[in-house]
Amino acid sequence: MLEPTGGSVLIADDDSLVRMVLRMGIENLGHQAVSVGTFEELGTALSEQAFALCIMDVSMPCSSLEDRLDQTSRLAPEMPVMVLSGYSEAPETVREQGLRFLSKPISLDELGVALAGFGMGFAGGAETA
Amino acid sequence: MSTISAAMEREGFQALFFGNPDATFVFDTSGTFIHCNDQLIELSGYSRDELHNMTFDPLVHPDYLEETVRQFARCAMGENCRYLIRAVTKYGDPLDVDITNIPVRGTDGTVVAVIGIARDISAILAAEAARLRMKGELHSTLNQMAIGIGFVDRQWRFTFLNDMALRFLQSDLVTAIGASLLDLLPGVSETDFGAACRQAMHESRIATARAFSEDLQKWVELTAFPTAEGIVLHVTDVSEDQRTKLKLEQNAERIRSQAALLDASQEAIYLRDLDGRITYWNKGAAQLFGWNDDEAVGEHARELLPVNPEAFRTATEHVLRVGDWDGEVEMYTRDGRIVIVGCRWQLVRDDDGKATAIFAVDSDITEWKRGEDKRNRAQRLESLGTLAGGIAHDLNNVLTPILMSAQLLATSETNDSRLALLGSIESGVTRGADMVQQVLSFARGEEGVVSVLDIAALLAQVQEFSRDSLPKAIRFDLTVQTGLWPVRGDSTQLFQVLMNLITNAGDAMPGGGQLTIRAMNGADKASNRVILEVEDSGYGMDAETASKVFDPFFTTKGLGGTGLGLATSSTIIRGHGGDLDVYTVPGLGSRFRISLPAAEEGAGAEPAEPPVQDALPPGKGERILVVDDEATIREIACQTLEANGYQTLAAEHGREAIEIADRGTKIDLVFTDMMMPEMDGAETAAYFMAKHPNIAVMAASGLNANGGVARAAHSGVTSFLSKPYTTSELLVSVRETLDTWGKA
Repeated sequence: MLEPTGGSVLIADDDSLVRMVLRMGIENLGHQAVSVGTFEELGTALSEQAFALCIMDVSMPCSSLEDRLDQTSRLAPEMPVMVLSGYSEAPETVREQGLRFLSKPISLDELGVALAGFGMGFAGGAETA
Repeated sequence: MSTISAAMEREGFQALFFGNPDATFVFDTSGTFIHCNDQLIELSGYSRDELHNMTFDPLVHPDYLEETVRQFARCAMGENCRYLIRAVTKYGDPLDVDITNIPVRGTDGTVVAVIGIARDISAILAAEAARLRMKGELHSTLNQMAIGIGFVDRQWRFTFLNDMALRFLQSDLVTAIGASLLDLLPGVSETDFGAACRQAMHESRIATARAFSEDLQKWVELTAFPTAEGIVLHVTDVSEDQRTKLKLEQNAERIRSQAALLDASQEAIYLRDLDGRITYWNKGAAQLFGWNDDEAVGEHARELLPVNPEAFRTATEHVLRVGDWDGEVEMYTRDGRIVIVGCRWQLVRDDDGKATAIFAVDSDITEWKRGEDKRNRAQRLESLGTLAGGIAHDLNNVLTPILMSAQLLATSETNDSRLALLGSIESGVTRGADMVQQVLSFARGEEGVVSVLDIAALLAQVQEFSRDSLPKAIRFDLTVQTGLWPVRGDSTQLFQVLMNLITNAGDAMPGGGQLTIRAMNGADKASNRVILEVEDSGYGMDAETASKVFDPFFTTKGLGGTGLGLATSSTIIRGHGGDLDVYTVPGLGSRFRISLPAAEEGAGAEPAEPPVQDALPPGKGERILVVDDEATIREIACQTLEANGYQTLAAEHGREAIEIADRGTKIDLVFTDMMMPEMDGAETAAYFMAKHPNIAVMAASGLNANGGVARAAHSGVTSFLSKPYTTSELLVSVRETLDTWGKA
């Protein structure tokens, strides 16, 4: 088992299956993950714990992407956010804020590369600062 | 008695007595028959023996016996008598007889006998009675008639007037009969009525006059008929009729005075009476249908205009029944074109509510109708796109856990066959994700980066790229017009479209063939266009397939085709404000044609070709029929030809072309495209060779497939012009064809 190196990842997606595989994928890559399915759960998780990265789905019921991005930048201004979507194009907000964007479906490799981009390489791989 | 007997012996008397056609007899002074002739026997029914020594009593009707006895007594006293009585035959039949009694005197001067003559006047009396009855009936009939009837004799006196005539004259029989026409109507001789009467009286000709009668204070129509005794006058009150006529004239006048206003309208406005005869025709109508008002007014609309007279009649009946009608009708123009006309027809009524005419406001909606199909398709694609986009999004969410689960399982799996299974799940998901990706790009038309593009450079890139992907058996030709206008667009998207078309072209030519890409400048009514064509010499498509190629999820490729390539291409081109169309002939190939709006600054700044019109061979007023299913090409060809001294007609396909020619329209040359959906160039040329051998046929062909040209050459094409052609190529070719044709 690989050891986590860069703290844990917060997953925000309303689809429980997606939440589950993302968590397992991240753990498989040697990191810890916590997942939430709603705006409220996101707020609770952010106020309870610091995360190294948030992976956020574009469409979640009852809240807009902008609302959620506002919330994360308020509660965890230092935490980077990567946006995930079933659409192949990044929404305007994502492009404006220069956020990393991934379109579904994502493979394990894509996930690994993306995490590495945030300084979360494999536990046994090249150590980043 | 001896006197009588002696007299009877005389020959003259004998002849008089027995030869008289009337019954003749002799009584003694007591009224007893002494002699009689055969006529009495025949008339009375009694025999000679029975009459002998019989008195006249049984022969006289009881009502007349007293009179008879009195008259006979007078005669016996020596007077001649004549009287009418009713006699009775032996069989009881009554007879009206005219009796003459003459006394016969003896030598001493006393009356010794009475001669009687009886004339049967029953028939005469019956005829007279019938005549009287008839006269009574005639009078009563004439009196019941609604027209005034007067009999006038040669001295201009009224001999008969019916009730209506008396009402006109405000006179009565006692005053009028026998009075002179000139006395009763003192002003008449100066009028048209007087002239008509004189004509009938003196020239024995029927004469009619209609005028306002000062004497009668009415509008009156008089007809005078000559008769043996003078003339008969028929007089009708036409005041009502005249009022209507006047009103109609006033209406027409009002409409004429509004004509200037109506002429300013773009719409075709015309008026037809209830018989369908055109009574008004504005400038808009002249423009739409080609007939000017001199030609149209007086013609029957249903004979002049409709392609389908039955539909026209149904619509007209609807107006007459309901009061108005809105709809579309196909109509012929003067030069034989068929236009789709949007009609608003209204029934015109006079002040009394009586229908008098149909007021039509028509407009040419041909172009609009043709655009409607495209608009419908675009709308359908749009809603499908929205739907597909939603589904694709959800599918990506579904694919995510499958993909990642398979990959996660694979990380800890060592069994090779299980790893293979997980690999197949992964590649299945990847393929599915690719397809979803295509659906998404179709759905969204993906917003791209728009810039002013050099199409020539883009095409060079496309050619470079497709060299590697196309089989070697396919020849690739690229023709770009010099001075091609730039286009505003997304190079990635247009590249995608062109590659898509090229891939399809390659798939249509599995055994190799010719792929041609052309780029040229063009124009339609609205703007300058840049035309890109991708043409193959492959299978081609039938009409049904061709009509569906742009539908999403329609594919001819079996496994592997998503049916989204052309749908996406079409979406992209529409996103650029352009059109993507296909022309195809089964067995010959297909040509996909992209028409994009030229970028304004570039189009304005540098004209593609310097004007070289002076050197071009001009037309001499010859009439060219341009046949092409592509409106842009058709219009450019027509404009070019007209600008250079030719007259033109246009047809959308071969069938329309032969309809125009079959109507006897004068045509010198037919310039036809080879590839058209309905009746192509070769078929059209063959028809002209067979039915109109004196009309030259020139064909434009972009299809380099030799088979097509060969077929066309056999079918009677006089000359060829290969596409794309320049203005000067067109004019030179038309001129040469006409000149050579003339000499042949």
